[in-house]
Amino acid sequence: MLEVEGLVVGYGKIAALMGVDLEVGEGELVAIIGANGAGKSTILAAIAGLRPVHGGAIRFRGRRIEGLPSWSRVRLGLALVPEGGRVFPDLSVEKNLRLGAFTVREPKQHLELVFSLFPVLQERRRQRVGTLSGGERQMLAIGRALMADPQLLLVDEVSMGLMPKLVPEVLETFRRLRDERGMSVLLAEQNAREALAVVDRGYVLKNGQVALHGSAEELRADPQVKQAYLGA
Amino acid sequence: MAVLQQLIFALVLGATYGLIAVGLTMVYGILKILHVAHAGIYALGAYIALSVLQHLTPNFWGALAIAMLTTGLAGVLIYRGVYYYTLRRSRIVPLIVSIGIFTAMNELFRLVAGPYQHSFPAKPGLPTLITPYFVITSKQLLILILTAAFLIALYLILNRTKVGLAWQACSQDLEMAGAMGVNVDWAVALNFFLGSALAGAAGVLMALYRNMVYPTMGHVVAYKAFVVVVLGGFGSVRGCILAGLLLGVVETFLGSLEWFEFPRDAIAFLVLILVLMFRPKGLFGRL
Repeated sequence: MLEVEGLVVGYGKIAALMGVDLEVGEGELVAIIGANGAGKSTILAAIAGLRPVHGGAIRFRGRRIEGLPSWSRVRLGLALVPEGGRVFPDLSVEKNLRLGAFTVREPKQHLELVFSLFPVLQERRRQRVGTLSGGERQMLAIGRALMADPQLLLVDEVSMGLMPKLVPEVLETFRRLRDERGMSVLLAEQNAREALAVVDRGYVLKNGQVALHGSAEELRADPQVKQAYLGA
Repeated sequence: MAVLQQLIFALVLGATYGLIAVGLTMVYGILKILHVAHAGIYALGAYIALSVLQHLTPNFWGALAIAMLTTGLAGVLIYRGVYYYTLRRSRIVPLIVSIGIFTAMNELFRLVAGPYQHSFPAKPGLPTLITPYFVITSKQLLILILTAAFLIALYLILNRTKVGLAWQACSQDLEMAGAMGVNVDWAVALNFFLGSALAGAAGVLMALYRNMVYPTMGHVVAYKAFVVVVLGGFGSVRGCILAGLLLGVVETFLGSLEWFEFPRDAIAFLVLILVLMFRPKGLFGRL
């Protein structure tokens, strides 16, 4: 589904990513874990088309996409839940969701799916987003991305905007979306413990490079990962 | 009822202010640049309509339509040909570029059409309304009706269409709008087209009303449109229209007072200074 090969992204003179290789299969749930500043968000931004790529290739469903503008990538089946949600604060919940479905002809069934996943959004559909709580905004950001009916969902640091007890619940939602709809999900997550509890595979990112990758079980059992990211 | 008559003058003036400033506020809302050349577009509208009337057809509506189309395209050209390449730079760069374009446009008008005033030979073809309380000339009537029609159409486009939704998203988070699948290049170009066509229309209406077209007709307008944008709360379309009307009212009523010897065109700046001192975010909130 998604193949990233030798991805190089730089900010000014500093390279944020120095040759990252990464893969997400059809219907796979994959996490990128690593410390703050390791480059997790940059990978997702590059895949979504929000950062220019300086080297390497991104293939999505067999097509090279690293040169396409972000809006064309949405049409191919990519959707992003950005860090902090970045919902449109001066618009209503409903308008935010309609924007999520900007490329979709019949958004109605997607709207029903989103409302069934997050009933609170239905209750507040006419409310201005600026008045929502942080957790509600995060749910809206996920709902908004789902409105595009993506084949690959990119999720950036979803646990940061949520109350701790909601984190497993939301991560479980991604698993359900995968199980029920065959959606692939790529998470960038600082909360390695929660992430490795739900995903199939993971990549450990360190200073802009993949330090380690493997199945969730392997990573959970790895002594280095345990020490550095699981706090055990 | 001199007050009612004054109110008619105020509305006509305020309506054109709103019409010009709306395009400016839309551009500011999305790209966060001060589009000074917008006032050049306003004057361009008047010149295009004038030359259509002189050389093509005496029909006012034809002249208005051609002027709006041309100014709309000119706006897109300024965006795609110039601003587009300066957006990643510091905001002072597009500002200076914009002032340069504005000056160049003024000189172009002077070179092509001459440095003198032209009269504007069009008849609006509407009746003059005479009531016991006030008179609305056919030109005033035309301006009021057309401005209302344009602004209602703009409101519907902004709030009821996909393109309007895309603009609202762009003005709040351009990058995220792109990530939603909005073709940002097109959305911004269309935004320039519409805003510029409205400014062009305002130029035509003002040329008709004052019966004159001249190279620097955009000068005072350039400053005043900024005042309206600031009063309206930077980027808010509704606020901008209200602010335009308010400025029209304040100018007309203060200007009609006998003891008020301040130059009329300076009132806007007095208001601007007061507002910036006490309500720096403008009088009206965001739409």
